[in-house]
Amino acid sequence: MKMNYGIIAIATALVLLLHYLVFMWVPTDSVLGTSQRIFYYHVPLAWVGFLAFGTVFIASVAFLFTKQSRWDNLGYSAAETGILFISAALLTGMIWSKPVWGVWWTWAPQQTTTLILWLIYISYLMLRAYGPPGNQGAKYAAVLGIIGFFDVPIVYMAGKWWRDIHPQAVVGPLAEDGSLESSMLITLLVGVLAFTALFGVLLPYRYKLRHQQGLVGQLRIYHD
Amino acid sequence: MTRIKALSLLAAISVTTICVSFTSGQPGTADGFLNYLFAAYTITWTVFFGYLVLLSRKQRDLTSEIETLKKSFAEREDKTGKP
Amino acid sequence: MSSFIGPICSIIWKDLLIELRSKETVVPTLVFVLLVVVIFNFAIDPTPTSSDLVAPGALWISFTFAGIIGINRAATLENEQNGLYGLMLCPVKRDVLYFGKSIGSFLFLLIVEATMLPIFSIMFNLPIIIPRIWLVVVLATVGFTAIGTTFSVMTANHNGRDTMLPILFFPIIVPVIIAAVQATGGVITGDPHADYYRWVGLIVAFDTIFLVLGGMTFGSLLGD
Repeated sequence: MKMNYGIIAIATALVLLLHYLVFMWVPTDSVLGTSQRIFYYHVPLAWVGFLAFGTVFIASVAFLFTKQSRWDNLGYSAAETGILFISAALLTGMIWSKPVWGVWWTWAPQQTTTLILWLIYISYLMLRAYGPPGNQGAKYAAVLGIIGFFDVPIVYMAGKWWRDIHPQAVVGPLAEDGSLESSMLITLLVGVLAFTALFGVLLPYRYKLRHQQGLVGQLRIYHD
Repeated sequence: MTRIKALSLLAAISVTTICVSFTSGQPGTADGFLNYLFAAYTITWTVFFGYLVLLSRKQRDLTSEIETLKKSFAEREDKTGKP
Repeated sequence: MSSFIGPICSIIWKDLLIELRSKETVVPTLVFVLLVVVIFNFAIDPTPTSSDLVAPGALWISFTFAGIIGINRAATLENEQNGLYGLMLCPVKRDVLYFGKSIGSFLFLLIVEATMLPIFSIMFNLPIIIPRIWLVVVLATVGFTAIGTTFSVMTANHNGRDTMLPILFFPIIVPVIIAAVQATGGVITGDPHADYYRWVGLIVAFDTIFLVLGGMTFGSLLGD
């Protein structure tokens, strides 16, 4: 399968740049210490996960309108890739909050929303795996992709208002993206670019693989 | 089968190094918690490389299926004179 | 307008008749909800002081489970003798089918909830027969059936149906649960800061969005 070496080169360069900035350039947070640098992975991973979910939404709408299988393949690939990023975001988030607040989970609105997003991705992939095959399953998944996309902002609002009523006993600094020093902001931006480039490598690869699986499936039907 | 072995080896090495870093790492000073940073970064790359291993396994399965189908079509063509 | 309301009423009446004749779902669901409440009581052991903290959670957990049963029933009703194809053959727009099925489920759930509310009131020694709580219950049930009808069609026809419906349903319905529990809890405790109308507003927004989406996507789900 032909790989796009351009995007791989860009992604590699950005990841290397990110690591240089994280380990050699950006200053240590005076309050949180070294573990704060997890932030430069955690936030970009979450943003790219949400970007992938937006891709699932666009692909779902396009599929319901055009009924072309390439949109369905894009939706599936984006969901699989997105769950990767969201899983990593959840794990790094937990590892970040442990030394800061002493707990693995804080029920902060962003954290809760990310968890619900992860669960919606999981239900999407399960529907694909256990639902009806072929075009009908693709339509079901597309509807789920659209419903899920509209649900996420509502989940965020509900989580935020719930948090207003149940504030955590310990509210640490940088609890919810407080003001950032400019060098930290630049490092964060490079992180977002690096993980987006990584998404740009993984998504087309998965998409081509899925497209080829579809073609082989058709060939098999023709053969039998 | 070798892909699964590679994946599990990768996961095992990551988990082991993370645990070792926690048991023998720096004590918790203000600039401590390096082991948490190490754990987070290692887990992230384990997840991505694990996914790549899974994808290459799917690709290998796909290639072998294409080969099987090719052979089957060739045999059919030999027998009946058409695919 | 009559081509909209007439068919909807026919579908509702059909489902109602089936239930009246067989009584196969209302009674078991009521018993199930009662059992959930009893188990909750043993699990959490509400003392008079903690009763008003535990009651909203117990109420909404049991209503959510009742919702799953009711929604599942609405779709499986059509499984016998290919009733779904019969519905699809009717010369009506697809969103008519959607609203017919979802209003039918809504009425069914409302009957279960109306029966359970006095029982809750007795078991938790709390004033639950209050109009403000009725409003939350009605609005949340609209949300359950709006989303649930869409998902029930996706899951009705295959083997994993019993587990797939909750897997799809629960992540999406989370904001309604949060809002319903908070609103109910606020009314029970009489807390002036509980922001009752903000939570009700969230449920109304949810209901509106997903009723519209449900109607729009039902045709695709049925295979148009």
